[in-house]
Amino acid sequence: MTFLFIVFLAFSAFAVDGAIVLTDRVKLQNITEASALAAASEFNSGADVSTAATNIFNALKSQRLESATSVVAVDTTKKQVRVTSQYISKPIFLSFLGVTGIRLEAKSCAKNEALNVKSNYTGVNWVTSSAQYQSDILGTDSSINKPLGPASPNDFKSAAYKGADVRYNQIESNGLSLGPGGYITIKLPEPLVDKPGNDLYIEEGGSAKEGYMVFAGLDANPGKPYVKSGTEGDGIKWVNISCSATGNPTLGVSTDGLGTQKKIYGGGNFDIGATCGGTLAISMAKYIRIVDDNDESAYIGGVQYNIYGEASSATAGADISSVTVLNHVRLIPPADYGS
Amino acid sequence: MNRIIELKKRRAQQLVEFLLVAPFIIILLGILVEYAYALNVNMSLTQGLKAATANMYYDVKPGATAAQIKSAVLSNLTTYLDDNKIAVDAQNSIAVNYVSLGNTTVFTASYKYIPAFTLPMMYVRFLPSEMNFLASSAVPTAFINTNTYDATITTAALNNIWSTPTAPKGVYNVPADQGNMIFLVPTATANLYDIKDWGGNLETYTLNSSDGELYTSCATTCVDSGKNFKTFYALKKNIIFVHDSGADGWANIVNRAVGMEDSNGKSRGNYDNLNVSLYNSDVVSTQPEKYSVSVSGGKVFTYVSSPALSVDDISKL
Repeated sequence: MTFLFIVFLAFSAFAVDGAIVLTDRVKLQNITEASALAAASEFNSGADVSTAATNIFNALKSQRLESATSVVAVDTTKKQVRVTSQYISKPIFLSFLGVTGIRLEAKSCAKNEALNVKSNYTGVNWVTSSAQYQSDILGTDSSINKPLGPASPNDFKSAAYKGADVRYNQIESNGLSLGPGGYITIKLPEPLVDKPGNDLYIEEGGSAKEGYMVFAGLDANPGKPYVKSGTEGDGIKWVNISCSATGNPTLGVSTDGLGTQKKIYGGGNFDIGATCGGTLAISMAKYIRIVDDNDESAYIGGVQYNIYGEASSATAGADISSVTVLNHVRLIPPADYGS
Repeated sequence: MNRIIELKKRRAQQLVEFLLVAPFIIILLGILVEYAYALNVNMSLTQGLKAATANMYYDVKPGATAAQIKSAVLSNLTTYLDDNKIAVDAQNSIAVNYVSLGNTTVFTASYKYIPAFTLPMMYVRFLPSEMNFLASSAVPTAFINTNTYDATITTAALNNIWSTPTAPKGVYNVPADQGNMIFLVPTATANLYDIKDWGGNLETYTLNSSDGELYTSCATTCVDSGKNFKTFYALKKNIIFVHDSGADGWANIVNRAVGMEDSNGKSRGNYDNLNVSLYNSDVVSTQPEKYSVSVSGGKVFTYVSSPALSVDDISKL
């Protein structure tokens, strides 16, 4: 009986020590991954990524892991960061047998990349496919380097020639023509968060750089979010971020319903943290609405021209080729670091 | 008889031994169960904070302050723990705090664990009467910044940003702009061009082979008679040249030029994706503001007023 009791005690002690080591290992892995992810988002900020990773790791260390150490490797070309951490876990009962510490190691890699928002045509949930102003939420599918729009052009009709029987939202140069004054609303696969540098890139196809406005949106009430047309919850709040665009001219456009708004010609980068209103400031967006400027002007070769008749063509309006979320950060297998 | 007595003695001895050891075993089991449960609480706190911060964007709404966001994280964490059968009473003192490190903010959560079994502590004095657990999680600092959106820009307002959805702006609906568009149609006669405006009014121009200019021939009816083409239309913004081998009427020319439709009612594109190879790649490569497209066997050429059109361009139509 006494012998069995001693064996029972020994196994219990091992179980307790094993649980301690397991807990430490999980926590070490958690803070290693978190510091790698946070550091990877600093690639476009100009800050020292290695220092950022170390600082975040030190801040995340909890009471039991205070003596944990980290080694950071940074690949600035591929925008990857690898954090390797170590910690000596201190068991209670094993120390009676001379085992005062068990060395734990965790490794995590994160990558900063640009993520294109795309949808196959069947994934685009238009409110009314034949209504010229009624584009709706784009599918939330996302992958790399896929253009908006269908794989091949559909039949469509001339606005001028066919009068009211108009269908825009057709592709042009693998893009999506909005139609004059038309729009598209994109529900992003994940929130667009203001990070250092630009956060969003919109490609406007064709050699004639046409004008459009970009609005960033957030659910007015997260408890009742927008689901789809007809199930719109408590609605979406918007702000114009067109003035934050870089790379192409921005001008004012007089709208019918919202006064003068800023617009951009051609593709450009957008920083959602830099809005067009003086007191307006956003740091996050879940929706992007791109609205054609309803104007027949365009920049061609750096010069602004009026292109009369453009609004009456079948692929009128700004031609959106792609929408790219910049500064997207994700974990990658440690073995893929540098590749 | 002696053997039976001996067995009974042995059983009695075992019973006594067990009774002596049993309290220790029970206490030890209690400690193990308590420790396992505390471990579960510790792990759940870590996972709960991770989940609460990872889903923070659900709680971020326009105008939300950092304090409200922190409160939302605490609420989500408490819900997570409660869902996992972990005590969330006042004595557990669950708290959430954060500290910003530039672009990253570290959230920390604390939890005071009160052991359920007090019996072991009566015998084993070094066992703690409470345990404080701490967890941490990192999120972008942007998550705790207040989002101030434009109150005037609602979805309804955006839907009505253009007041008349069925009447988009453009040449077709804006007569003032229509005056800026003319159509130059080569005729069957060499070096003779018909110039038509949006209303279909006709003028005829002749290409002068010596100076390469187009001159109007309407000596009596045209206000600007005698002026060459480039001078007369210097203020015109856009000129569409139509060359069609068929005997199309004016309406067809306008429809094709503006709508860019072919004879099957299908568009071939607009100004941005015209098939320039059908026209003249040299012109396009050197003067990218010019485009052409095939239309029912003929060609449409749109020309922006600057730079000036050359005779060479016209001759290639």
